[in-house]
Amino acid sequence: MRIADIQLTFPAILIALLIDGVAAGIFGGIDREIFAFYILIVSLALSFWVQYARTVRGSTMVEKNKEYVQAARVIGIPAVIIMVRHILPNVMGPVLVIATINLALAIVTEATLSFLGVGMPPTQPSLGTLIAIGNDFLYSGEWWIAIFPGLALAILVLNVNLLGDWLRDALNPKLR
Amino acid sequence: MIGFATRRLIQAMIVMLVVALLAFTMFRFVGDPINQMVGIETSIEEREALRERLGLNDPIPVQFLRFVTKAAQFDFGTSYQFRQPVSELFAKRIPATLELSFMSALFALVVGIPMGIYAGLNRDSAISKMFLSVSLIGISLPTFFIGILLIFLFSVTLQWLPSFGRGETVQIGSWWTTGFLTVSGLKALVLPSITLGLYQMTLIMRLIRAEMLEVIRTDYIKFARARGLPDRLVHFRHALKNTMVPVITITGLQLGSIIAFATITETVFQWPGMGLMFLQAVQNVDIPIMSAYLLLTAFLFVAINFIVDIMYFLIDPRLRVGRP
Repeated sequence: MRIADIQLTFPAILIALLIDGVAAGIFGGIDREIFAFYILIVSLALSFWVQYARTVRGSTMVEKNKEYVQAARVIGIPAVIIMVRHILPNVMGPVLVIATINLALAIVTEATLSFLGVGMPPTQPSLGTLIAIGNDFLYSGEWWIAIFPGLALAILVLNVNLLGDWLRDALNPKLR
Repeated sequence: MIGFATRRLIQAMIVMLVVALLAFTMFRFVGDPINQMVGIETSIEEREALRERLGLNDPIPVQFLRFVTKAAQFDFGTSYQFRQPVSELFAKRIPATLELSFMSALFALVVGIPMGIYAGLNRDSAISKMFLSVSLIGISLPTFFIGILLIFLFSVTLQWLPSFGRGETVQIGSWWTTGFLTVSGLKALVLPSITLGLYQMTLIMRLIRAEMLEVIRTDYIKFARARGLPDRLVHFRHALKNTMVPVITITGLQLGSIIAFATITETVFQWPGMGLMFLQAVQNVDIPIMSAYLLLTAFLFVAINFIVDIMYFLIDPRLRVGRP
């Protein structure tokens, strides 16, 4: 949890950038073309895991003191089964909401990294790369190359965000 | 208070040490520092001599200690790509990043707070709903795309504002250069600061709106109204004051992200700041610059967190009682 606290002080995008840079240093050259996709996945995952850990820890600490857990313990159910079968389903609600919001964030981060030229290699498709290419043509008046992929990205992210909002409302029993 | 501050200070120092360890590991083990420094034709004996001279054969803890001592004196080694001391490179670029971050924070506060107050006080008006929809779109648009849109609109189509660089700068003192004193410098600041500040602005607006809605329902506001105080006084003296505590915290913490997101904005606008240099370092695997940037931003973040914690403590009297 200390590690999580330390990581939480840095924005995800910086961490992703750093991991990407270090990975590029380790693999280098041609290997990077092949591994870029996986490096990107790992760096995004490593930058976002903290929020899940924090949230689940928080709600688990609330849940574990509830009566149904005590009851299960009194009957003599092993701790592992209590954790997996009883507590886990009850802490998954917030995780789902964070997952959708983080999905939007991950899409933006991937596009940003690719736009900056450190994400997907130019040979593989990515909205960020497309926008980066279009950005070079912006000054010659060919605006559509950058603007349309950008709009597609924005609509995608907006939709995921809205989904997250609705999911939060739907999963919150107080609002039902 | 002093106990709280010391505890926080010790925590901050531990964080810095961990980050330093990370930076050192990167510096030492990602790629061979010697290979980056010398040409292909250098013989193995010469490489060994250089290795010995730089102390790369010493035990790892000794090397780490040396790294930390040097870093504390702002000596981060020599950049692989520029062949210049990293500290000099950073000194040249820090003013650009700090001025940009300051302007965007100012923009976010000056625009975000009034919008938030308005949306909080008139929650059902059409304008408030518009503010909210705009802010949702603002959160969904990636920073770099906002930059591209602004460049397309104001630089390419309307040709009002420059799309790259800092404009003319004036030198103050031995190393600080400022763009605040020339017309072209100020003009160059407009688009990047809006790009960088937009996200923070929507955040501040939403936060103030939510806080306002909460506070306006409380008993003391009802009481102030019952006393017959004018609306203006109730809203600004009583309600706003109590919404400011979380805003100060969030703004303080967001200062760090502003500096981090400056990397993206600086790339879009070719702004000669630290972020742009860091990004070029990532692309060229220039490890000394990367580890120095990691240490510098970590230091900024830790310092900001520390100050925010202390400020929170000073602002909110409830934190002072009941703490050991």
